[in-house]
Amino acid sequence: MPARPSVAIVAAVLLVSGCASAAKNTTTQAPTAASKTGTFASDVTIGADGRLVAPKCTGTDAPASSDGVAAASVNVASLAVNFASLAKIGFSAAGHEPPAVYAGFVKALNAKGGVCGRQIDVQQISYDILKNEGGKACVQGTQDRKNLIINTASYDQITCLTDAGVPAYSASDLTKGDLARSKGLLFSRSPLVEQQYAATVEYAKKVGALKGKVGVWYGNTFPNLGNAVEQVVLPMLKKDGVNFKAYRTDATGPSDPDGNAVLTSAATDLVARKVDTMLMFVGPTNYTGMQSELHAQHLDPRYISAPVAGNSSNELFAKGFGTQSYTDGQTFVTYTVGPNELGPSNPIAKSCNDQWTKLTGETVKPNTFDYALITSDCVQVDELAAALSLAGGNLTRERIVQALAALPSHGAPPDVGPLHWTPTGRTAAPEFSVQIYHGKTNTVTTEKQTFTVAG
Amino acid sequence: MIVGFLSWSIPLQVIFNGLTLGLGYSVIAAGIVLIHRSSGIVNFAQAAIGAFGVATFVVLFQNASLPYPLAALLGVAGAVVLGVATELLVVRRLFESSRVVLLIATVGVAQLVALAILEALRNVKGGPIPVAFGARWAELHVSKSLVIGTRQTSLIILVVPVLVGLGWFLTRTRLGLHIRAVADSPENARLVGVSPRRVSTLVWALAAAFAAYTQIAVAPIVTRTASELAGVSSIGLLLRALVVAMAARMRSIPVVVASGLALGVVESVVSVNLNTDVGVFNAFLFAGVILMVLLLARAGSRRDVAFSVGVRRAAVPEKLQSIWWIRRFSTIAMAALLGVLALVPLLASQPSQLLTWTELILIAMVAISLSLLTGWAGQLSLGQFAFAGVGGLSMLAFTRAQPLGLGLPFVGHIATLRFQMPWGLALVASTAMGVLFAVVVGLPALRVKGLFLAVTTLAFGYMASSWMFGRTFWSGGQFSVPSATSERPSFRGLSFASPSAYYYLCLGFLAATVIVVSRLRRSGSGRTMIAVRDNEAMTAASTVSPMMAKLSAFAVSGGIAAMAGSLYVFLLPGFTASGAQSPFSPDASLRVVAIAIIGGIGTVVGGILGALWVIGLPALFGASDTVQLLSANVGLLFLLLYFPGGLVQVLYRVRDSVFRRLAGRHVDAVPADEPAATLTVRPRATAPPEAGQPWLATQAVGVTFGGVRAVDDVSVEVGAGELVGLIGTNGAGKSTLMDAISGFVPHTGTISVLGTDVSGMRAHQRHAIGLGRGFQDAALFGSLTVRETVLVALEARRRSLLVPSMLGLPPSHKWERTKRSEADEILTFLGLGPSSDTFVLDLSTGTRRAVELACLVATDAKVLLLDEPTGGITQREAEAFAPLIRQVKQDLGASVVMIEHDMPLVMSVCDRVYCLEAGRVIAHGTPRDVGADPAVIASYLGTDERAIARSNQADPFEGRPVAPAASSGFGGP
Repeated sequence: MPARPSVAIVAAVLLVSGCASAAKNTTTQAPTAASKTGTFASDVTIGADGRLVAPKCTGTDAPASSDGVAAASVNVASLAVNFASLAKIGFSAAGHEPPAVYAGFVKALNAKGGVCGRQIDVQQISYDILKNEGGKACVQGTQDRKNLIINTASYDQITCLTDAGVPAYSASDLTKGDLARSKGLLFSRSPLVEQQYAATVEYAKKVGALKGKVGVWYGNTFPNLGNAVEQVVLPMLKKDGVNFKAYRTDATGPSDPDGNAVLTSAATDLVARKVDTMLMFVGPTNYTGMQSELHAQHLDPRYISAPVAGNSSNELFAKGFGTQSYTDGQTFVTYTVGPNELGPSNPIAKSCNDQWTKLTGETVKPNTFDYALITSDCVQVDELAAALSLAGGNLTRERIVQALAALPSHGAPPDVGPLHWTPTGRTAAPEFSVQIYHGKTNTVTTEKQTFTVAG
Repeated sequence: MIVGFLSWSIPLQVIFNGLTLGLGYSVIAAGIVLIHRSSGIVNFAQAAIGAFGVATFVVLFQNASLPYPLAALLGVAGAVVLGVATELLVVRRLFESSRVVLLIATVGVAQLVALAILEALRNVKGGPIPVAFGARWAELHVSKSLVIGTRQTSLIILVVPVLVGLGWFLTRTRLGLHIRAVADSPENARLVGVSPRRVSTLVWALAAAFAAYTQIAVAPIVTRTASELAGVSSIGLLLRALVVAMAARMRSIPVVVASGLALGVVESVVSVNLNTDVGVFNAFLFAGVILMVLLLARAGSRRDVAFSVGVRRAAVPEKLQSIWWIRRFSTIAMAALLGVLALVPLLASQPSQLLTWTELILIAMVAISLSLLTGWAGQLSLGQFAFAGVGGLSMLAFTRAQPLGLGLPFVGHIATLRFQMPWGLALVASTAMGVLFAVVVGLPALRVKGLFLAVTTLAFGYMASSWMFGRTFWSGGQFSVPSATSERPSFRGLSFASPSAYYYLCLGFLAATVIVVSRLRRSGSGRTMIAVRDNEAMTAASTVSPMMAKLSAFAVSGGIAAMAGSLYVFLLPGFTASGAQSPFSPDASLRVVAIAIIGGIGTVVGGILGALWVIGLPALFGASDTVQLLSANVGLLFLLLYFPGGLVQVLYRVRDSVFRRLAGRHVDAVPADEPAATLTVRPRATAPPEAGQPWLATQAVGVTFGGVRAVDDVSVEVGAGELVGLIGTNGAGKSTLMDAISGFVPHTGTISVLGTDVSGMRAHQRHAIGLGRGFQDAALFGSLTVRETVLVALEARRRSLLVPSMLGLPPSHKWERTKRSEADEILTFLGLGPSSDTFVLDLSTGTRRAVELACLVATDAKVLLLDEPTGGITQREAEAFAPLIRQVKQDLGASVVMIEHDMPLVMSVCDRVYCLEAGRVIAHGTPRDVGADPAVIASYLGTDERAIARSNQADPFEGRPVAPAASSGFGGP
């Protein structure tokens, strides 16, 4: 029988493109001191459109082939779950596969001569998560050929990749433990999971949602995400003397009998307690499952959720699972904007999609998932190009890691805040906003005001 | 946990929720029971067929905007069409195949239906399952702590009456009676005008309608949205339904409902109180299954059907046996196949490709282990990959010194152990872990056949992957187990670190597995595994313990799977130990079953062929949808329909065809057998009783079946060298008395054999004392040849040793040669030499009776129990039987007890006769005395003067010379 997917995995994977750009993102940013590490001769600048501008290359040394580097070429991989395969389980796939989009932008780079005299050879790895092909995908990326670095958001593969010593960038939703294990080889586009969860509690506190009775619904098929709730959220609530009851589910969703039993029992108890606010730290199916169960038992509390799937498709899930009518106004703490919010008003998104049109002749409709996917992959190629230029001729895995960590703070749609990796920081800054869901129109709005939490 | 149990919260609402949850399980279980009762098939597609009905309903209601009742009706109709189509196109075609083939076929159907559901729902407008009826029922506030929601009200009102109606239907209607009749005996049902085929189709239609109707009502409870419908085929849901069905022994609908409700309540309560221990309910479920097996299961009767399988390989024609490459054809073919696999690293250049091919090899090993367990021993394991997981995760625990915490209930933690072993030692230890777990899991369920063991292993696999493997010892405390590829072994400077080197290492282990398992098949241990599958009672009568034979199969199978798992963990780049993403999930176990079936279960090569089909084809031809379909769902069904014996069946047909043609060209003369003048009679292992003591004595023996006293206070005696007849009407208790003596049924009173009280002994122990048994049906071991059958009986003289047999160590070779020689001597003595290589299934009844006699000779039995030895044989053969039995009795120096209805035979050969009626002895004495007894005449012989005259006839065979065995009329198919 086909394995039922972890929707959380899928949701995490949907982040691979990120989504819409930050509506409030600034158009230009001056290079920061971070790039002046002394390690690199050049600076990366930010263009008028907000995109990273790769500096001139320094050094023409071409070391012997190592880590996927040769005199005239460099190997990178783009690894992602195959969206078409997800359609089998009812998830509407984007019209584009992330590795193909990534490769498209790289092709443009190569057409201009590549970077530092090297053509970038992209290995596109697209795997069917339903058939547990992740392991094979990892071997393709780490053993079939040497790759300097891998671009991926596949949470299920980051351990495999970094255990093999290959840097991976653009991961999402990492815990402190994930980062520690990766030995500095992972670069994430999102704040730490612990920060996301803390931000959720802080926000709830700020808006007075913790004054009444609170229910906490948490868990994930990746148990460390559920563990993070127990390490961060529950102690925070206890410390503040909040009247709460927490339930955990690590099942894929209510269609899993294990998941269904827990959800039904939890919902029953929460209804009996007449909770006023639900804090949600689960994946989309468990999220919507709980909402529909509570609604069926005539309880429609206030919902405040940690970022779900990077908030890239909350409205899609609401529509798909039929919770639109009674979850109007639910809020998601978010570090990204919704797909329907990213359009040509964001200069980075506009620039990237215009470039895509030039490359392929295709015009992608703004304020859609695909528009966001193209924007995100474009930014990630810019990051690669900038890092390759910084690293220069003497290109090794160590150097590319240092180079990525030396990139200046830059706009990275769909993140609401800028992305800035440093030698000691591999995640996005803990800058959050709040996304509000509108049931009638099935759209989301991200507040312009952002807030941060302690790192 | 145990202490904490006392402080559990069990609110009324939670209990009620559990009841409605359990009702959902009962619904699916009821459908499974319905189909099983009518056809003996476990329908893994039951839930999927119901879900298809729901999907049809959703599409019509939400997309086509049909009114709710019409859409629901059409949804039910859609499911009925699917159910009937499944029955007509799949089940009926495969009805003569083994039950495990049918089970896997329904798995294939479930997969295809799940795909169809997803496709149908792709364009559905979305949203929850509509509950139009639910809106009409008010929410019921029973008390402050109990509210019955509208959906639950809907469930109760719509489903409960249908469940009750189903139970009434099965017991009170004519069709229900027909269903039960067909379930008990299709042949007899046909005789009274009931068409089993028509009944089967009706049952599938009914089950499909029931599933769809109830799932349309249940869906809002169990699933939330249309897109989750495909999840109803989840193994978790199926397992719960199977457990509920098993609790009802696949018979009683009221018990199905009660069991489902109980299960739902327990699950609900556990979920609330042990919320943070992920998957712990599945540990409860597994424990419950074990308890249920221990409490509810009873030893299967001789008539129970195991999951018998098999495509038989015909013997090499005698004319060609002198040609060495033909004699060794199978070995050469296997070597060639392994040789082709050895070329893979030369052709597959990428590590990721080698990963796939190495995985194929290891999965083939697990498939071979399953072939041994299910194909030979008839024990269906649906959790085989869990044993691989036990081996694999143990291996990592041993090489990485992962902590093993030891503790006791109420005491708590006692100690933490860590083992740091070198690779080779860890491999042995992890294999031993697999053996241990297989034995522990299999032990409770091996007392019974069929479904109980299958569900037990499924429950184990589910528990292991969802809970057990998450424990620290197995997972190392990490969700994502770090890659062990860098920890691959090296041996004397030869490193197996590279992908190709590791591939060859695994191929070496596969080759070793093939050799060991093939050796096992050719040994007494392998033969007894097959014998137990075919005829457990006969196996016990051959002095072999059926339990030990099954346990051996389980142990070897578990060990091989664990070894494969131990190699597997060093192949993977990193994996999750537990959960849906685990490589040791129940899905993987079901996949292995499909692979073994596709290749040809019961054969060694089948495991490799199946893996090549399912994994190799997509690896070779890419990931196109067509290849995926062919190598999985559609391909599985196609193979099962046309080649239920698997790919190996195709190969066997080709092989047999080639051999037949070659044989046609050979005209070598075959020398005729010289009948042996005498049979070498071996000294008895047991000391004879004292002179004058009876060789068989029963004292006040009684047997009761469910309130019916089948044997009542029966005392019989058989002296040394006597031939005693047991006569009486049908149902007088003659066979039951024999079963009691043999130890096949529990009894009161005492029984002694050759002066030894055997009352407390098991069947195989009694027969080891010197008892021999011939059965009414003479079924013997259908899958074995005549020679192999006698070789099984020769285990009585020299028990095969499992490990030396597998490894080819002394004294296995010598003992095997000796036993073969003894078997040939016995067969020749009885004129069965020409039939030595014929499968028992292909023999006439008369020849099977002769083979049965050969088995009695082989076991050196001194007290022979023969149940209607002339039943089903020709007149000529019957006439030859009397001198034959006298000769065997004389040569063996045995006493004989014989049940017979052939009065002239009884009167002619028996020294004394007992007549039974209604379980009691009504007369005993010489044949003449008994024949003249008025009670016997009234009860059995009748009052017709000719019958009375016949019963008192002198021996019709008196004075005739005893014909040599070769021309006795026996000895041919």
